[in-house]
Amino acid sequence: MTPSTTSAEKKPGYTVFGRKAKGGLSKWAEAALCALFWLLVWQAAAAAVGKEVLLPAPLAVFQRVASLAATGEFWKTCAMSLVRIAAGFVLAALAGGVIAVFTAFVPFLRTLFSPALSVIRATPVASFIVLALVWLQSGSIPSFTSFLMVLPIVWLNTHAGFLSADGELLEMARSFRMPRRKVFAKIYLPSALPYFTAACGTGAGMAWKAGIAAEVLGRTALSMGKEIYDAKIYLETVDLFAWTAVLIVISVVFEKLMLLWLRRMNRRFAYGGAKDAV
Amino acid sequence: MRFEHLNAAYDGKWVLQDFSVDLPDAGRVCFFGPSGCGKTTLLRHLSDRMTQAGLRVAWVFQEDRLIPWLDAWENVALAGAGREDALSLLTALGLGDAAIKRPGELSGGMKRRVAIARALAFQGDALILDEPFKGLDHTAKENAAQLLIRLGPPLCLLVTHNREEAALLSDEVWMVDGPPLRLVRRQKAP
Repeated sequence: MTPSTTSAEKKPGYTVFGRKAKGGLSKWAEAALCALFWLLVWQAAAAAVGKEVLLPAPLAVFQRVASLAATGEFWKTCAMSLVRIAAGFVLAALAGGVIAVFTAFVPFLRTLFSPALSVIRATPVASFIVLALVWLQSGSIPSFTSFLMVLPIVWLNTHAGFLSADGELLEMARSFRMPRRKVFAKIYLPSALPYFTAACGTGAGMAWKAGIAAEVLGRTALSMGKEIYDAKIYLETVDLFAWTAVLIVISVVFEKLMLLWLRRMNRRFAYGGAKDAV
Repeated sequence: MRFEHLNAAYDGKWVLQDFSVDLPDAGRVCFFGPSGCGKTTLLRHLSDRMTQAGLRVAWVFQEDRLIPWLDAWENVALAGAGREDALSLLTALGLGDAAIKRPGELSGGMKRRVAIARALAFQGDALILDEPFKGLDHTAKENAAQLLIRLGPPLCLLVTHNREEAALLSDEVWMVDGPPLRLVRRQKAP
């Protein structure tokens, strides 16, 4: 008799809860192998170019990151950039969520806010940064730019989430005369939460790109963007790569931690399957 | 209660055409007829009219319509019951152990019983049941029917195309046909 097999077992390399499946590699081993492949490609390219000023080798970059990390200034710079960009992101997520509530339930407000949304989405980020240089102090430009980049993403997605609420559940709520506040808390909000989460995932990447661009153009004191700008001015390509690598790590960790928390919220308050999975 | 001139059409086809009906103030009436003849549409219109007249109408929908991210007891409590009352109703329907499970973790029959518990928790003036025993075994059907008779409001309107279910819950069966829906005959439940 043939033993029963799961669909996961039938596909070589498919992982079950991150563990090794029959005939395949674990998720982590796979990721490590991929990273190693690209490091080798980088190393080969650097060796082929042969000039550190054009393309430094990975080892030189890692050594530079290590030497930077030994200074207090490095951590202060990273922390300040993180605080500025995270502040813009969090404010945009909150504002986008609140505006979405209004635009989803008041059609007039949808019409009223739509042109503003279109203008923000169509305007190049550089225009906003230059405008912010005129309007604001250098320290608040990254927050402002991140805020503007994230706001329309969260707003539009959350708005769509509210509109996606199941009509049959809403009819049930009317039949059982559920108070409006309860309908909002128990049906609308959980329906919008997965959309809000997806928007935050997309928005986090945008916030970092726009925020660092603002720091570069605004030459914000004690910022990763200014370090990247200085590296460009003094042709310190190793520094440019080192700061970019640090920036990538911080933005990825920020995004992962935020999504981890939001997904927990989804499992608890929205459609996240069985509670036991939390 | 008399309901007159009920009309409904879908895709240009009459489902209810100037349909009028006299309902008793109390009793359990079963509309028995083939699928697609307009029974559910009739229930919707009767529910709307009763609501407009100020009555509180509880529903057991054909689909369970349970909120997937809430526990079974929370779904019941949404109809206005406290936690203890919700738990008692679920226990009476044999779902004491499933009260803290979400609908995704329940079988079709269990979800059906949660929907019945929710309708009872509402304590309405009328109860409308659209194929209420779908997915239940005979014992569970009998148990649910007895609870509905004991705890349900004075007026119960039931739609089914299953004779056993009609006999279990109703004291009068109205045979219908359509569309458009028409009353064929009325008889006491077997």
